[in-house]
Amino acid sequence: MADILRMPSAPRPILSARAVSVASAERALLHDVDLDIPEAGVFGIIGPSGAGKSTLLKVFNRLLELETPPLELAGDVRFRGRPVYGAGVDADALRSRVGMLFQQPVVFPASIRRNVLFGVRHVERLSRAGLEERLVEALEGAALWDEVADRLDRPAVELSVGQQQRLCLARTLALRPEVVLMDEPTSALDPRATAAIETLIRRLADVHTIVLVTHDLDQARRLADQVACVCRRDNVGQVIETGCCTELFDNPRCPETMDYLDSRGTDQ
Amino acid sequence: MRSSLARWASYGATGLTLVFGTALLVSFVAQSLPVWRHEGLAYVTGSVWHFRSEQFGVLPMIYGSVVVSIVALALAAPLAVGAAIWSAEYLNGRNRWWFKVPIELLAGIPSVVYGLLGVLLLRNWIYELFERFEPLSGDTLLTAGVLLAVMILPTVMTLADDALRGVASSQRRAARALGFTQAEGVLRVSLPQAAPGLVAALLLGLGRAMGETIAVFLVVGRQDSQADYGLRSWLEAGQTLTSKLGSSETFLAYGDPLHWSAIVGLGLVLLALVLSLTLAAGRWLPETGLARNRRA
Amino acid sequence: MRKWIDRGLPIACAICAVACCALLLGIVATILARGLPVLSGEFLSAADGELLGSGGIRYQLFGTVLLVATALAVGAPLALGWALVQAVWVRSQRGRRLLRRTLYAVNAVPSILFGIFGLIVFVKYLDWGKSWLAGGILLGLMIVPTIAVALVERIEALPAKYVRAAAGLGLSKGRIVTSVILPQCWSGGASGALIGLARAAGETAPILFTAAVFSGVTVPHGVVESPVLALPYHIFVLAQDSFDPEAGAHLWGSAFVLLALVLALSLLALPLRLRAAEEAQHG
Repeated sequence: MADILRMPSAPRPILSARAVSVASAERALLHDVDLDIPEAGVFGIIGPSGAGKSTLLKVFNRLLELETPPLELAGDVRFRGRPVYGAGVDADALRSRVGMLFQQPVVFPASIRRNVLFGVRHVERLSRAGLEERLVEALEGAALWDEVADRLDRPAVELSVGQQQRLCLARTLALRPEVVLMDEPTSALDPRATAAIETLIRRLADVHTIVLVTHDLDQARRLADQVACVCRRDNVGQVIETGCCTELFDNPRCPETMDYLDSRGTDQ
Repeated sequence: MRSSLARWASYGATGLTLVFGTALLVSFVAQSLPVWRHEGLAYVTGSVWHFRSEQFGVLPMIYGSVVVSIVALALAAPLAVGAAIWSAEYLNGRNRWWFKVPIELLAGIPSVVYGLLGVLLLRNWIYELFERFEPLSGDTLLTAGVLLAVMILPTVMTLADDALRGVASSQRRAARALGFTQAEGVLRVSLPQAAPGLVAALLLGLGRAMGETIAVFLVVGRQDSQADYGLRSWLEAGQTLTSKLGSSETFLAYGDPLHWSAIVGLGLVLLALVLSLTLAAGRWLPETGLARNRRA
Repeated sequence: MRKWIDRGLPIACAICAVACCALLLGIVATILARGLPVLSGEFLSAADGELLGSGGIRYQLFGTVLLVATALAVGAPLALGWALVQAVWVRSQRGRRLLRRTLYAVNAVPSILFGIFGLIVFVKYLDWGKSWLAGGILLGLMIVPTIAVALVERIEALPAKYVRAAAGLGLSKGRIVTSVILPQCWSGGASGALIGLARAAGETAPILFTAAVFSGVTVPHGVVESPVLALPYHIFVLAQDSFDPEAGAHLWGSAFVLLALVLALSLLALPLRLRAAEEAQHG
């Protein structure tokens, strides 16, 4: 399985980064990142906190540009072979194709129904029936339908945090994205809610490309097909190594990765 | 020992302030009693104010106050909310601060200076602009409304800015992550969520407009009787509760208990209007935002 | 369509913002252009002349400073006490909320009502006639909410650890107030006071019936029947018969001096507020 993914005949990556560097006014955050993310499956990004994992994630859907104070980006980022940062690229359209799930669930103060359809409503023109269909599809996709089918018009904030996170996922899925970026999506959740999300991620990976940032190595081991390890080297975040999951975990080549894996191992 | 001294001094100061506040309220209620006995409800519904014949109807003044405040709000609200969106959604950090400094200064300009500009400039402009409607002079309800619009602009803008900035940035980011443009984020996420605060901003702006005296006094024309209550009246001289209170009639009325109580009654009506607007705003905006309401 | 709105909204909002700033600039520029030529050492230092609106504004300026100083002397202690009661001494949330609401209500009372209230209490009931003290007390009461709210905001923003650390040293609450809370929060109170004073300096309505006359007095020697001249009242009266060109020049000069005084007080408050904002960020 692992070898198949690394075969030269593997399809063109859906997302790729070449020589990507990110810097704030004060310091460099990421340096010279090269990364290819294959279509479908779960691509894990692991590494210690503060290394720049989330920053790297935001590079792919241009959420990076909205940071205040602004960050400086260099290098080439591509989505399906087309430059993400090229002139004339519609960043908003890109963001609806490359969805994102945040660390903390962010629900809008509205009903469950409105939350799920929040994005679709403005990005696509759908009939009433079309919207309803999309609602069911998205909620089923996020494994939330059974829990909320009878209270779609209740405020979304009444849901538990775990349900809220799945609601956010449903909201993203309603846009039928090709990629879903996930920034430590379970770190605010209890073990049960975490398990529910993890099952979901595996299921979604059949159709979608999932890029999962996590500091939980076991989670990465459980879910990811391939892993990139982002560590701080020379005081700036770098992708130290990438590889298929088992390979990288069992046989890390770089001292930083070894260090990181060791320290996490003794933690747990 | 020192503790109790500081404590009692504080409570003493608070008590003294409360005594003054209560005395203010009580004196307006008590001293206006004769006119309520004399006129009854006709005091607020009557349209004739003629103290020699002991007729006291404050409807024209209430009408004037409502008209000038609504004109002021209608003109100021779009400008203020637009500027607030600019400041809260499009400017960051230091830039926002540099924008808010002039707004704060605008809020600090004394009302008599606005009044002076109204007398020497605005009323001529209004007269020329509406000449084809043949107003008798530039002293009209509309003139007062326009002048008030400029005066309440900073209040509404500052409060609206606070309301918008109260919307969590994570909400904006979530909207952007769904593919919303920045404008869609503003219109669909920030504005709806800030709506209670925006309503409060408008109510407080209205209250401030209603309580403003000096500037209105100088340009409103101060005519006690209201010939008609239609749109045409906006281009005629009028009277507001405050401009009536500020007139020399107040000084003259003191000797005559009924006349005096009719004057104080104006104050009570004004107080009731302004306080109900403020309290209504307080329901929408329970936090410190109310403190930014500039005094009228 | 979406893109047009996305581009149009900031432009429309920026226009609103520019319009707001332009209004300020226009007002200040108008007053400056017409008032500056009138300004001279003599204008500031001479007493007013025989004719309406001739001579200088010496006693108008003096009267305004006297009123503002009295307002500070009255308003600052009351506001300090109120702020301490609301933010330190009263522990229950309900009590604090009640005090806060009351403060907002007082803040909302239109200034003309303070004037009428002063007429009832000081001028008539206490039989002072028009008196500078009545005006000062009224202005002082009016600025209590401004100062108190600024202080309360600062005290509430004070990190709890300071107070806990001081309490850990065994300091009494009174000691904590004088040696921890007040030194940390004075800038909040000072900026509130400056803004309050700027407002008091420009107010006309409260002194209309209680403290100010148009001419004929200089420095008051007592309380009863001791009115003062004051800049805002001076402008207010002159503005009502502005047809005399000589009075017009005098009028613009007075308006310029008043505006300069008020804006100077507001601007003085700025560094203090900037400091407060920075401390809130880093502290």
